Amino acid sequence: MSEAAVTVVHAGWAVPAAGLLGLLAVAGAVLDGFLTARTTGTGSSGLSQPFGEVARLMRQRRRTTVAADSLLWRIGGSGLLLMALMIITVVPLGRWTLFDLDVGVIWFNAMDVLAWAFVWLTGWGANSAHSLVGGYRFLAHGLAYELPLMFALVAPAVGASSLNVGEIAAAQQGLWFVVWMPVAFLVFCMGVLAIAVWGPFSPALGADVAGGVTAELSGVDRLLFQGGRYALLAAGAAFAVPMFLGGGAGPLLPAWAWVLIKTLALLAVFVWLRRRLPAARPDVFMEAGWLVLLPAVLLQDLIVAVVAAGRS
Amino acid sequence: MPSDGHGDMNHSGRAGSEHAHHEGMGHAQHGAMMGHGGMGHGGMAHGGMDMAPGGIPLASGGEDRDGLEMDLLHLRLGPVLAYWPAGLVLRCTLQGDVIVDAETSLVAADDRIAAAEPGHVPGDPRRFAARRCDNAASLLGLAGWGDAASRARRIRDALLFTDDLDRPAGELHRLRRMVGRSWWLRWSLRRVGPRNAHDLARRGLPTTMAGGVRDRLLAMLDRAAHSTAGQQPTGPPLRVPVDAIPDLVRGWDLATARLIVASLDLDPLAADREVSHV
Repeated sequence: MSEAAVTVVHAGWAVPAAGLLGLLAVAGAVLDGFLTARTTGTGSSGLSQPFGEVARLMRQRRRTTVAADSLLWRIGGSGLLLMALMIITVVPLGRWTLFDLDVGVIWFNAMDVLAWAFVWLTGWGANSAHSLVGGYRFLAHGLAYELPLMFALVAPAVGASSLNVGEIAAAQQGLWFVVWMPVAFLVFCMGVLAIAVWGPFSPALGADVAGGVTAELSGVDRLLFQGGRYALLAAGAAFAVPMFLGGGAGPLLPAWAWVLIKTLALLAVFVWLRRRLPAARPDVFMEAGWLVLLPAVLLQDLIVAVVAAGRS
Repeated sequence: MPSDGHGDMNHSGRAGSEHAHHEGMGHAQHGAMMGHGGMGHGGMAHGGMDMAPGGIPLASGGEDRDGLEMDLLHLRLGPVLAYWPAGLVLRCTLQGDVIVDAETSLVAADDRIAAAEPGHVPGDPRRFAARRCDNAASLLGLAGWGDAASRARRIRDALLFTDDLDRPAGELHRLRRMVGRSWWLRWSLRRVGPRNAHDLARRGLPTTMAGGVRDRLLAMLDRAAHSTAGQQPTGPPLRVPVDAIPDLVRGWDLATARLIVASLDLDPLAADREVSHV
């Protein structure tokens, strides 16, 4: 792994990259609309549901609450989308990347921690009891998922002896990391669901607290928050590709196409999972996070470290 | 869920003014709304009144379970809220998200007993089963299980609007099996709201409520299944005194309390009554 595994492209490509992320997010939303329509048994296919929702929110008048902390509220609501955009800057699309950071894995970690601030601020800013409770619940989840997620990121880095995302992808020629680091992969996926406040990790937005942190969001603010969640799911799936799924490796098709295919497949699984599993109540999940996930992922790290030491 | 948002806005607004009245600060509340002139008067009546952002007085403190002082927040749940028995109002006093005290009231109803089926017609098992499915859908929705909640709702619709009873009965059987088998749901709902027979007898609650929230959910689906199979519900009809609800939710956090209320399998409390003459 001496020479750089990827080429850095001109900064102007950031705009198409953001567009690509947007397309992936829309694909996720369309799939969710389709699955929702199928289980609820409505007449329509649900494929156009996200577009209708966007149109509705774009023209909805923004509500506000008494004594809302508007600045922090807006920062929180738009933050998730920002996080997703920052994450994909270090994800190589085949051979090309926007940023060839030596510490790309740490970059992802720094970004995912921002979810704590953004989701919490969204709950806090509205000055409403339900959204505040939602914010607290996210923090309770965070206490349980964040450490396992960090240690899950350690496994591929140790396996490839690098924190550079491109080099980690290149180190998987022959054998994808997901094969011999399944626990780290699963915990990573769980972390992605958690930062997107998705599926089992959505009690912060739960119906039992009247929508939680989103209870008072309306119009463009709600659109940014919900769009940010889909974008985070897509960005997390994209990041998993070089980390665990062999990057652009695959037969026949060019590397960039394989990255997109793998990203879409993982994104589809994430979206599908949402309806399949009940919520993990924060207090219950805390036990699982500390007593099961953390030891399991530490054991995984130990195995990876022993293998890596044996190789060198 | 935009509808939830609307509901919540109303609640917080009402809870705020209600709070002011509780503290005997009704006058100060109006003063703060009107401008600075009124503020002085409010401030004299109550030292903390100049700390009233947006005209909402700050929360007063109270002893926490740990013996620390913690803010008291007043929040009203119902009478209209997603996945909530219509007509029931629960005024909660929260510390953090834990309900330290609660009182119930009913909107435009003087019947303090919520029957499983008010005026339950023995010959109408469909409505009985549909109501159980609706309540199960609420509970599953609150537990965050979208798929199962959708299925319960579809069964309810099929029970009410199709002539063929076999299909919904089969669906109901499959749903019961799916819910009963889900280890994730069992794990997520464990230790929530357990009641043993002795405890129930002491509070005058029906024995069908034994067990935790998950047990009551399964019992709800079983009652629906029995009803569609043509068997009359066994034993006396399930009746939950509304006055017992505060006792059941006290000490639980907001979300768990909502799961507990949903597991009581209540009916809409004043739906068959005329509420206003306009």
